[in-house]
Amino acid sequence: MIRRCPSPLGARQLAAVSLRAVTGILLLLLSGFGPGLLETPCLAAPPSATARDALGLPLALPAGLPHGLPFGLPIGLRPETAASPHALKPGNAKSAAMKTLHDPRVPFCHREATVIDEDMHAWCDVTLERNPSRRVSSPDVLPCPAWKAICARPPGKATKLLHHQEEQEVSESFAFPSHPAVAWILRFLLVALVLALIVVLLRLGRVSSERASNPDLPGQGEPMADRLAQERLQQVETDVQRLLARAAAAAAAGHFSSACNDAYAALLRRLEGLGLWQVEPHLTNGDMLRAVTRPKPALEPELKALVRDIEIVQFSQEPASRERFESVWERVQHLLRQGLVLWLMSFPALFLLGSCSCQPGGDADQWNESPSGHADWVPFLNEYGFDARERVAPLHRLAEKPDQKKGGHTAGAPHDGKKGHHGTKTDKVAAEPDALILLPTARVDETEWKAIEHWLLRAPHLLVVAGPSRERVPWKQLEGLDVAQEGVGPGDAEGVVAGVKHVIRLPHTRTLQGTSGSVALAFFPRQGVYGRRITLPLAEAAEKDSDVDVRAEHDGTEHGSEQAEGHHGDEDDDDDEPPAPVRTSEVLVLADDDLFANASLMFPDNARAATEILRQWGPRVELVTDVASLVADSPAQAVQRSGFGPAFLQLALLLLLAFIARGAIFGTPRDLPEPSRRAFVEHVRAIGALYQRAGHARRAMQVFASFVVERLRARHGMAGGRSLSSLAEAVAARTGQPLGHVMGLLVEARGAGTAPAAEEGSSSEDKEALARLRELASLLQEKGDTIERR
Amino acid sequence: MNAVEFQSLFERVRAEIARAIVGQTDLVEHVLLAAFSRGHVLIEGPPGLGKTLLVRVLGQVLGCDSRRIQFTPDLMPSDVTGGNVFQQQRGVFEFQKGPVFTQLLLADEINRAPAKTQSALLEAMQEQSVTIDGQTRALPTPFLVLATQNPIESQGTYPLPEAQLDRFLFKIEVAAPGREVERAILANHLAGFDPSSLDRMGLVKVLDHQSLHAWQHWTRTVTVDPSVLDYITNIVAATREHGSVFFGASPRGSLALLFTAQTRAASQGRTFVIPDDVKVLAPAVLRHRIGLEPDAEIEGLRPDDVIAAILRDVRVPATVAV
Repeated sequence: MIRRCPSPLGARQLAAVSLRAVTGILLLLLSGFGPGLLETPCLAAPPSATARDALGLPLALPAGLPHGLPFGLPIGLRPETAASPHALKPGNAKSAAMKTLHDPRVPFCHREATVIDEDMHAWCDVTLERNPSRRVSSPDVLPCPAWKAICARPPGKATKLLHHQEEQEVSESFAFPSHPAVAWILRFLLVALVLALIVVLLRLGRVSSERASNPDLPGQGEPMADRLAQERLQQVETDVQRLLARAAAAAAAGHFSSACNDAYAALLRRLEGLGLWQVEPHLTNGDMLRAVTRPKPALEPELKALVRDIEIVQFSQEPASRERFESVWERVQHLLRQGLVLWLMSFPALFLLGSCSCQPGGDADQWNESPSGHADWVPFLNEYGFDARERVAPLHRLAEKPDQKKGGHTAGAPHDGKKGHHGTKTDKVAAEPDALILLPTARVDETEWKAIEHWLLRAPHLLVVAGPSRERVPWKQLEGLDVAQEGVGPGDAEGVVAGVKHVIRLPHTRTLQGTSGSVALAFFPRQGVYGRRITLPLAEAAEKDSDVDVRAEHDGTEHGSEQAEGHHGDEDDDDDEPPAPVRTSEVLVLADDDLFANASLMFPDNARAATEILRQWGPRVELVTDVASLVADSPAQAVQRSGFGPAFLQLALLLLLAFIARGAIFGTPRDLPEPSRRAFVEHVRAIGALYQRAGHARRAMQVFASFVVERLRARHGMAGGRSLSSLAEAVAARTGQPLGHVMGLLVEARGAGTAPAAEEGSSSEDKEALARLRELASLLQEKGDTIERR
Repeated sequence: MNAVEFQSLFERVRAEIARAIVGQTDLVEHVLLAAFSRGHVLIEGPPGLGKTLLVRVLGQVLGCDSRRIQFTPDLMPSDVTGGNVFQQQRGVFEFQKGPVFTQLLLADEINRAPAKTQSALLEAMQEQSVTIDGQTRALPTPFLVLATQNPIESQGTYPLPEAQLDRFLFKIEVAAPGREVERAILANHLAGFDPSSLDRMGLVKVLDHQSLHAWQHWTRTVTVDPSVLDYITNIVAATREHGSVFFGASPRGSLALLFTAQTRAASQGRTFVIPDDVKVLAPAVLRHRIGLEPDAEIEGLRPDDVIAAILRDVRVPATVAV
């Protein structure tokens, strides 16, 4: 527990503090904690600056502290009568802690193989003989069978999630420049970049489409896909194991041929999974051998021998023997185990493992069950009698009033005393908690802090558990909740004394900070514990002030609002109406999380301290961890919380660009284009070009002329005839061309066909020949017969 | 006789040939496979690649007689097979054997001779005998013909008809050697190699023609699994069913593929044929046995392309692919 050393108090505050102190003492005496409290240094005269405590640990006084004035009520002094009407009945914290630790699922209590890091080893010092001067008397420590063995082992690798998270935050944090000009410039650059990208993509798309339509240009090869998806790797491994199992089963049944084939198939599957080989129906063992040994020549001898064995089994018509199978099996296993194959597998395997370890919750789950984690507190609180759970709803829902939902219950509402209230089917509209415990792993953004602020106005309670370093205390957000720092804040060294490791040392003059690790509340409540509290009354309260007074009583009566400062003010106060009873919220800040660490449950006093804090607030307690920050109400929120917003935006932008580049056909299912073949006319043209190149244009003329004449004769029913005049008359009559012109064409055509072998002609003669060809072709076309059949 | 012995023999023959023939490993291997499979080889390639030298070297190494016929447009059938010549002194017709009466025959530029002369040789290849004036005379055993064609010239040539091409076991397309091989050839000659006097090289006669004959029979005993038989028939059947093929390979092609696969399996020390043997030899066996559709030819499709496509489509036996 931490107390915040107050700064030099004003007169009013001093009076209030004094009043609380006196009341607290009286209450403590009445509650029977007197003897313990009397021993508490809180009530003793403040030690000097060089004083040391009973364990010889130095005490340093913060500057400017009022001595001898505890500013807060020790928790243990909270009397029943002054408790909230919704307080939970006292239970047996020690018994509940014992039951919780007795669960064999608590690893540090029951699994000797559990490895804890150096930070967690600090708990060992408090409980065991490592440092006798710090040892807590054994009756005060609950038994944990495996704890001694765990502590005997040297600390392992640091796994503290918070440290890791902090390091990540420090290393990955990026403070976006807040200056508007910077943001404007960046926005402009981004837009310009996007536009330029669009232009480039469109241009590239046009070039590629030109290339595709021009067959003379070299085509672009399709890149080979060689990325292995995680799921495919897992499937590959499953197939490999299945085939090996089948091989073993077949061998056991005496079917050695099938067994050999299955074992071989397992190896092929593995090679396929590694991307070295693609199992295709038309590929032979030799193809596989060449494909695999080319990039991996080291595999050649073993693989070659295996293939030889397999081919004997498959094609030699000899029955497969046990010896043959064993040879195959051994070679397959060796190849599967071979370092090269494993090395080849290691990259995708590492990727798999790395992705697994990157998944949220992996390391966190392990850490949460460690001595420094918090996982055991929910069952402990439930065992005690609370209705505790880990919050899974988003924190921003706290801003919603439960009466807006069907059957919702507000904080502080009468509790039916049944456990598991939160776990009923009406969970969606279940009661809001009476108290929230913000553990260090909870990630609370600004919106959620606002929601908490609104929620606190309904008079529930908040326990903020900071991390081991002072920076984890959300000072900025707590300012919004009017938590007075009173001289203690981030970077403020005054009033802060380095905590004595592993010892609760909570004299009223000291403030502990958890910079170096754990602080075990091993000596509570002899030294007492108290924390900083603030009170947030409802809307009727006074105006908000940075300096918040501390409530002196818990009797639910109206707070001395006219006396206290720092209450939330309501400018719309109606002075004519009598003020409603003030229900107050409490915010308690702990500078480190050791009270709520799992190992803390080994000390019954710690358990008592925590339950006493929470009991007064009500039975419904929710522990807020990183889980709450993972939950989202909507897909958009899930994206926002996951941090994948930029990635999704980029993907959407990429799709948009692709759509723009490819047009409406992008994403539209299409049939594969039919393989194009050149039209026959193109071949004809090519042949004609060859003729021309060879200087045999007249030969082409001859051939075509003969063709035209024969076609015309056939069309006019003069096949086999030799007379051109009748043909010319018929053609002239059909085409409307002058008879003389048609006759001339036909005569030239026949003459060309009967001429001797064409000699190489000049270009002008070629042109003439081409002209004649066109005219002859026109005779056919005008007949309705097209030369080019499409 | 066993596969290991045959493999050793095969390697020795190959190594001995390599002393005189630099490069052309595919050609040498196919010729040897044909020799042990009792088949004939058609080699298509530009002149100057050492085809004649190959036959001579082969003859020395295999202990076989070898002869060469240069086919020309005026070559007569009797110039190939021989004929009866009237001996005036004795007053009888005496049969003069033609160059075909040999064990290794190089028929150089076979497409330059008219069809009649080609037929005479092709008949000898098929029947292992020649019939002259009604009398059939057997040719020596083994009898291997290596015929060559020059792909460059098309004027004044008489392309072998497709039906006749079927008689060749292999058609091997030989390309000009690479730079390293050509350099090695030059270095060989500088070192004193004289292709006209192979005796001075000291080429070892690895086996004789009787052994060759015996091994030819032995290779036919190599085991062929029914699945491999199916593979062969599927491939050959696919050549008849392919859309770009005008006519496909005949059963003679299937037999050629079978026999050569057996020989190849034995040359690798195996007593059984595997699909790789078939797949590797299929192009050489089938490329001259299929004719393409005219439009496929115009489009530039080659028989090798069709065979490659067929090999991609036909399922290999005992594959794990589903």
